[in-house]
Amino acid sequence: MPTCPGLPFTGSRTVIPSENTEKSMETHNIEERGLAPLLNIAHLTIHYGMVTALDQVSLTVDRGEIVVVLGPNGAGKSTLMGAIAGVHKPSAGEISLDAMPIPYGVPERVLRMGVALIPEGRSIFGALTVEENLRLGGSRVSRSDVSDGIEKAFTRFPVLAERRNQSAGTLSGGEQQQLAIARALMSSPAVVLYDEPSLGLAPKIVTQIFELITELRDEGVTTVLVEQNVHLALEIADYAYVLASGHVISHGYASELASIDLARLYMGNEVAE
Amino acid sequence: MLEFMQQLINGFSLGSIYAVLALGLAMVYSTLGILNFAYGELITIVGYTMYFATQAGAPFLLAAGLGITFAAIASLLMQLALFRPLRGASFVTLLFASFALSQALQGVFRQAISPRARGIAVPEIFSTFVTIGDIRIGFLTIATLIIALTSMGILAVFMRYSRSGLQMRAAAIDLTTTRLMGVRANRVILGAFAISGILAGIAGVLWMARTTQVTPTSGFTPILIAFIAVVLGGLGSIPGAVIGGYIFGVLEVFLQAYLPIGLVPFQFAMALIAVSVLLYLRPEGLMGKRIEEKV
Amino acid sequence: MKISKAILALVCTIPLVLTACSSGDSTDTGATADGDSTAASGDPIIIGFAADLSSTYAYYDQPMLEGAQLAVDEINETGGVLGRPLDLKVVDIRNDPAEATKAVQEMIDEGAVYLIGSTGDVIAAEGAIACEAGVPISTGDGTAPTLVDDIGECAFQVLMNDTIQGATAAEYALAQGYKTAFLLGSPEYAYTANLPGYFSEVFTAGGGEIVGETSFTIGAGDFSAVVTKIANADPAPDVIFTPIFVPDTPVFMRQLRQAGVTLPVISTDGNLDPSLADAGADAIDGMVFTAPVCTSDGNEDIAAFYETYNARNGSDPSSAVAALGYDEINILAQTIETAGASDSASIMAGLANAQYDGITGRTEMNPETRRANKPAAMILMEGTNFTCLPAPAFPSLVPAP
Repeated sequence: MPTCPGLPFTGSRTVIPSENTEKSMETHNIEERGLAPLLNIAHLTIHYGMVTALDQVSLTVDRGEIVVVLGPNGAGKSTLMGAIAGVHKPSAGEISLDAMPIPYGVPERVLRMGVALIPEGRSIFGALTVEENLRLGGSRVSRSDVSDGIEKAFTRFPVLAERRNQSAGTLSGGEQQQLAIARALMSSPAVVLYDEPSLGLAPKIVTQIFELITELRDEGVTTVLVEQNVHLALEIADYAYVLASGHVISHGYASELASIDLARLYMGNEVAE
Repeated sequence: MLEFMQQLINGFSLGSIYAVLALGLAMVYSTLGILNFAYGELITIVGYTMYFATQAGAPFLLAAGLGITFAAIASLLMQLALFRPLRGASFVTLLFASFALSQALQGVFRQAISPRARGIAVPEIFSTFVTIGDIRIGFLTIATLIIALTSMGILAVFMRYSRSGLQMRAAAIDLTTTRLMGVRANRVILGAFAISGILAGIAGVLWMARTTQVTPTSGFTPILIAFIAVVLGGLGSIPGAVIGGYIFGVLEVFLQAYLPIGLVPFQFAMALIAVSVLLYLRPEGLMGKRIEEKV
Repeated sequence: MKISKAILALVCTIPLVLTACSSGDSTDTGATADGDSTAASGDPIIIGFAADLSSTYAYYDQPMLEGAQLAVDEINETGGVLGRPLDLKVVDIRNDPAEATKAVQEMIDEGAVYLIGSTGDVIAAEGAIACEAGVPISTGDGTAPTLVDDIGECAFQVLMNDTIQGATAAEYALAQGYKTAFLLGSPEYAYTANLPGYFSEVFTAGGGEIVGETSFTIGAGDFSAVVTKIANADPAPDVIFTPIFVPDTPVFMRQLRQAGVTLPVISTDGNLDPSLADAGADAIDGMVFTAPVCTSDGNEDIAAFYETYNARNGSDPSSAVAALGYDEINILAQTIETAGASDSASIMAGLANAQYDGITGRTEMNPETRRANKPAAMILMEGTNFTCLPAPAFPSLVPAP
């Protein structure tokens, strides 16, 4: 059991260190954050062989909010995102979207349920053209919707329109991130999972990407964001979870978490481990 | 010079069969990472289908069509009955499973049909030739070139412009990310096996038209050559497989034609040595990505 | 090294001692059987055939077996040999030398006194075991004359050999008025390597000229490179001679005709198989080849053989080679009867001088070479029909192997 030395949060309510039982956390969630979250993760445990990547992680995301998952490298953030998208197999616990359980092993079905993952490193098909990448994103929608989707994407991202027949590998990092987002939007998802969208991008571009994420949230896209850039993430997020060594060590409203020295929190945890 | 030109055409004609063959093997490898050694038996299936069809009085083109259809069905069955249940197994496990299937099928052909060759009747027109300038070329040599190039052209258009083709290309690059786009893995994989079977069917028809007979082990030479061409072109590279096929075809014909008589029995060994040297210089194959890049 | 050599020498002497003992035993048995010849049945006389029934040489070993089995059955139904039944033991060795070695050893251990060799190269392995045990082995349908000397004292060739058919083919070519020939061989096997030489020796001695030569790869499936060379031969030859054999022949012939080469082709006995017709009439019409026997000329004995075979098996034998298997067993039976003994040593002594009139013609064994002086037949393809050309005389010049 990890410890959280000194309870560094100054917030008056809602932040519950992980020593609290799962039960009380659920109670809290239900009381404080609405009765029916869109995305509900309960007691999720994932093993990679002998290694426990996630241990009894519970987390909820309400409709139309941005939830950010923070934590040091190796905390299990990407595993969590992969599990939501149906890529990783849970050993225990469950994930549900709108009360429907999310299956594992068939990411294509999870996408159809309305969850789109933008993986870490963007996973753009560099050998394919920009337009082909977008078409792939629309694999599960009708042909006419694909055309509409591409038009919308080109309106939102004019730079992609200019490069529609260029192979995606020739785009800059920021453009690739735009393409990854545009591609995810092709299936009109209810939930978009962003795994480290700022990775390797210049600060100016990162700001643009975060503005875009906010914009999309405002259009009604529920968002889960894994991010190393704590301050930017907390600026746009509604709620935040802190993950370390596969455990939720802390969570709370973003505004309240913003004033905490998270680096010390991670470190304290690691020392305790 | 005249003979050289003719040998070159021979080489390209043979090479185009090898290219189609290699393409079929590469389709499955690039999508799933499976080297399907039972692929050669698809050629044998084409041969027996054509043999029985022509025996029953079917015209050659109908027999060829049936051969291609049966090869495609057999390819799909291989995926459904062998590779799908073994999903997640290691490369070596799958390789040996396909070896086992190959041997089992050969045993079935031997027991159920005959260990001896069965002749396939081919139309008279196959024995004719055309003269271009001073060069005399067999009808079949040219027909082979045209059919192979047309088939590969159609496949290229399909892969380039159709939705399924795009999904297959994406799956070949990264299957997991493709699935995250909502693409059904099973459909893409079946599609790859179907195309692989159709290509084996086309190559099989061209091969059978040339050799006019089928034995239980007819698939051995084709799978060996397809494997060499795929490795030569770069494992996982679709254009590489085609180029590898053409290079090996031309190499085989030229070694046969220009080696001193005493060395001709070593023709195949020499072709393999040439391939080994190429692979030593370019371990990733002609069109393959550098290993470091792939990881 | 010294130690292992000593062990090797020791191991090698053991079989020799055992062989000496066992052959002594079987001589006794033979004498007893002879004295007791009125017995309806006795210990069977065991004949072994380690045959390739599922690989390349199934084309020849399978019909050899069919004919041999028929002869064995007939002999057993009419009182056997020396009053004893023949027992033909067969193992499919799939052209694998290791399996051949094992099978032949087992046959000898079970008491086989005579072996029919496989047509494939595995006969070398079979022969080594046979000679070591002092058991005679025939070359089966193998016609390479060098086989007998290569294998050793225990080997016999009871059918016509390649020197005879090469010479017969050359004399036929000269008789047709062909002046120039193109040779297509393959160094891979003795058969395909040496036959062009035998042909060439007799052809040039008779005034003919060899204007070109190339080699093919056995089992290549594609002969376009070879065919192009022949098509471009300058000067163009009058005839092509090649010891190519099925299943390659139909492929080669079709590709040759596809390239527009209409030259006559003379080949050899490896084409005595119905699958030659697979090439289709347009590809093989007019092709001529030498063979140990031609079965389609209405010869009464051959017709009776086919009739009997058909009555018993419900179908024709796989090929005319069956007639050779049939004759070989009958030559053996006559040899044993004449010697009055069924031990290996007596059979070897008898075979060396055997003379026999069989359904495939007269076999006269030459005791010096242990090969038969037996004329070859010539077969002409008329469309897809195998027709017999007038029986050629024994060639006036037979090259040395």
